[in-house]
Amino acid sequence: MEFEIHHVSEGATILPRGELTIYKVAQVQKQLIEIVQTADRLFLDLEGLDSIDTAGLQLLMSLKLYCHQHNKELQITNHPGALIALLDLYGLAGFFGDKIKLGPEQRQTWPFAYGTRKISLDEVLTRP
Amino acid sequence: MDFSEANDTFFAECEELLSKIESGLLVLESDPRNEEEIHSLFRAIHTIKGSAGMFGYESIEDFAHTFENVLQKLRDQQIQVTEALIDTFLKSRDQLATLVSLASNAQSPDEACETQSNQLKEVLLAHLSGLADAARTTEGSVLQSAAADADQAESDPVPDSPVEPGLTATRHLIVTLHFRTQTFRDGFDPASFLRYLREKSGFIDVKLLPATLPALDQLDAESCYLSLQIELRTELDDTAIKAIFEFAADDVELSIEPRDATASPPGSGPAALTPDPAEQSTGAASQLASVASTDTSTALAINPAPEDLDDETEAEAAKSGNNRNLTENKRTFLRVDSEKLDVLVNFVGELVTSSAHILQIARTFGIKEVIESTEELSALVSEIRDSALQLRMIPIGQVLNKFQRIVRDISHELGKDVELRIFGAETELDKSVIESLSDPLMHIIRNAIDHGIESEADRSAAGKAARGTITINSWHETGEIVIEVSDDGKGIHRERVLSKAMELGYINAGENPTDSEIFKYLFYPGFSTAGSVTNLSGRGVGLDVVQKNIDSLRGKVGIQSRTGAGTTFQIRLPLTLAIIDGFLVRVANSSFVIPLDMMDECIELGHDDHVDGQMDVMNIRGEALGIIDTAQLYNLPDSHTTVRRNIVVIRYGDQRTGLLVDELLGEVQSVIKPMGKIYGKLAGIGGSTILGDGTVALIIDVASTLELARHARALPGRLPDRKLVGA
Repeated sequence: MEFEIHHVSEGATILPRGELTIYKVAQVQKQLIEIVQTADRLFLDLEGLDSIDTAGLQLLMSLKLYCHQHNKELQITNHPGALIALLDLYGLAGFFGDKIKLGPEQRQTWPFAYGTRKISLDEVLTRP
Repeated sequence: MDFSEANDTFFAECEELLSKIESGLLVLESDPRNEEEIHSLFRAIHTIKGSAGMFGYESIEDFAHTFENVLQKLRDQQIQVTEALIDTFLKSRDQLATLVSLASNAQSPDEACETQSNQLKEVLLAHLSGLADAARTTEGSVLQSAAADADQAESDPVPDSPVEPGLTATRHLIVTLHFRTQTFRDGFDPASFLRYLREKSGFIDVKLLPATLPALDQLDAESCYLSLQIELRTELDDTAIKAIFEFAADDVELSIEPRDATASPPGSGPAALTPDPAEQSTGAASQLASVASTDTSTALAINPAPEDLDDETEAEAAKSGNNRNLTENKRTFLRVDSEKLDVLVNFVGELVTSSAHILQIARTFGIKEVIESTEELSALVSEIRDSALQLRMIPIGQVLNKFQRIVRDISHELGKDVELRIFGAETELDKSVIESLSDPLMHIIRNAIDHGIESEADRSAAGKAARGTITINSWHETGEIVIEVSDDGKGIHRERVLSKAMELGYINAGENPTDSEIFKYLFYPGFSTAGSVTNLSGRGVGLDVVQKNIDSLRGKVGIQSRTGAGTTFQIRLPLTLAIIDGFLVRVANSSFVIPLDMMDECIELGHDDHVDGQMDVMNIRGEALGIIDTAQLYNLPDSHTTVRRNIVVIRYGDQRTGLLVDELLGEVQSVIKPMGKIYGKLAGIGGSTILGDGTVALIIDVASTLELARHARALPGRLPDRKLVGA
C-alpha cells in the first residue's frame, strides 16, 4: 500500500491509498509500525482507501491500541463507506472515538444503534 | 517470463468458463439431480478461482472462493438445488463476469461493486445454512438495497411468521462468538455472518471481549483475534442461530445464553465492558484456553490444500462412470485471431480470381495438357476456398443458446411461464452474420414473450398448456439459411394491424390486402398496436429496426400468424459467401452469373421452339415450367432467333422456373463484389463479379428475380410458403 505522509507542526498526516484487506494487512502492518514512530499525533485520512475487510479493521484497531499504549494520539478522518459499515456493524465508533460525518441517507443505512460510547482501550488490549 | 500473453489467455478462458457456467446452471435448474453438472460447475469455478489467484486478481479470487464453497456443499449433498439457489448462482455468475470484465480493462471494482459483491456473498452463505426460504427473503431485501438509490431507506427484513420451523417467540439473548485465529486464513470474514445475523434479528449491542487484541507491534496481522458478545432480540431458535455460523463451524465458537435480569443493562456505558470483571475475564480466558487447545486438532479439518482438492476432483471425474469429459477432449479447438482469418480469406479470393484467369487463357490457347492441368488447379483452389470459408462458419447454436437465459429472465419478470426450444442449432453461418443477427432475434423473442404468449390464466382458459413455448428452428435451403422464431401464443390481431395501417396511411380503404401484406406493415416505423408500452416492447421502435438489420444482411423477414394459435417470424439470409460458384450465361450483350447451387438443369431450345416473347409456360417432360425471358425482364436489346437459345432451370424452394438466355458459357468461380451504394437494392441482382478476362458479370439474385418477374407478368405459381413448424 502506498502512504502519503505530511509532517505538520501538530503531527503527521497519513494518507494511505489502496486496499486494506486480508491480502495486504501483513505488508501494511510493517509499513505502519515504521510510520507510527515518526510522530506523537497521527492524523489518518482514509479517503484513498479502496476497500477494507474485518482483517483491515482489526489492523486499525490494533494500531489504535498501540497508540494508546505509547501515549500517541490517533485521529481517523474521511472514513470510506465500507469502513463506516464495519464500524456500525461491530459497534466500534466508541472504540476509535473519531467523528464520523454522515449524511441523512447514510444515517439510515448505518444507524449506529450501539457502540458509540467510549470504552476503555486498556481492557481490550492483550498484553504479552 | 512474459505474463501478458498468459494474462490474455486467462481472460479468454474465464469468458468461456463463465458462459459454460451459465448454461450449466440453466441445465441444473431443469434437472436438479444432475450430479455431473454440479461437478462440472464446481470445477469451472475452482479453475477461475485458482487462475485468478495466480494472476493476482484478488477480488475475483475472493468472490469465486465463496461461490466455490457453496458449490462444494451442493456437491457434498449438504444442500439441495432450489430455484432460489439457482437464482443466486446466476446473479453470482453475473457479478463474477463483471469483476472479470473490470479486471480485463485493468480497472478495480468501485465501492458500489464491492458492496454488491459483499451482499451476494452473504446471500450465498445464507444458502449454506439451509435457510433457503429465509435466503429468499434476504435476497429480496439485500439485493433490492443494492439496486436502490442512495436516498432510499434500506427495507426492513420481512418478519417471519412464528409458525415456521426454526423460529420461536422473540427472545432476548446474549450470543458470544469467538473467532479462531485461522478465520481469515480460511477465507472467512466474520462481518458476513454478523451482517446476516443482524438482518434476522435486532442487535441491541455488540461488545468486544476484554483482552482480545494485541497492539500493532505484537500483532500477527493475518490471524483473527476477535471475540464478541452480541446482545440481541430474535425469533430464531438456537439451532437456527447456530446454523448461520455452521459453514465456518471450525473457525468459530459460539454460545447462546438468555439475557436475564441480573446481567447489567446495556445502557451502562464503560461498565458494560466489565459487568462482572472476575467472571467475565476468567470465562473469556477459559474459553480462549479451550480454543487454543482444540486449535491444532481442528486445524486439519479445515479446507484441504488445493493440491488435495485437485486430486479429489480428478479421482471423482474418473470414478463417475460417464465419459463425456473424455469425448469432449477429443475435439480440440484452436484459438485463432480473427484478423488472421480475414487475411487468409482475402488471399484465397485473389487466388480464385487468378486461377480463373489462367483457365480462361488456357482455354483460349486450346492446348489440351495445359487446360487439363489448369482445370485440376481450379479444382484444388475450389477445395481451398471451401475450407477457408468454412473456417468463418459458426454453428448458430452459439448465438441461440444465450437466449435460454434471456427467455428465463424475461418470463420471470413478466410473470409468464415460457420455455425456449431450439432446433437446428448446428446449422452454420458466417461469423459476422451471426453477430448481426443477435439483436433482431432478441427483439423478436421479446415481442413473442411480451405480446404473443398469454398469461397462464388466459392460456388455461383457452385450453392451452400453461407453459408457453417459443421455438427457434434453423436450416439451410439452397443458397440461404432460414431461421424461424415461432410462439404458440395468441397470434397477431389482423384487424388491429389493418386499422393501424390505414390510420397511418399505408393502406387505403377499399384495398383488400392479404394477411402477409398486412403484417409486413408491422415493420414500418412508428408502428405499434400494443395497448400499453412495457419496458421491453410496445414503443413502436422494435420491428423496423429488425427490418433494417436484416436488410443490411441482404436478407428478408416475414410474418405468419394464426389467431389463437401463434405467430412465426421467418428470416431468410443469403449464404452468398465471398466467392461464388456460378454458371455464366450471355443474354444479349451482357454476362450474367447464375449461382450454381440454384441451378437444376439446362435445356437447349431447338430451332422450332423459338421464342416469340409471348411464351411463358413450357412443357418439360410433362411439367409445366414457367419461363422468364431474361432479356425482356432487364430490358436488354432483343437478340434474334438466329442464335440458338437456352433455358436455365433454376430452383427456389420447391419451385422450378426457367430463365431464357442466349448462350451458355460454362462454370465460373469468382469473387463477388457487392453492388455499390448507389445501386441500393437493385431488384434481381445480387452483386457483380469480375470474370477472368476482366469483364463484369452481374450475379442473378434468384429470389428477387422471381419476384420481379411475378410483378411484371403473371407467372404461374407463387413464391413458396414455408409451413409453420409444429411444436
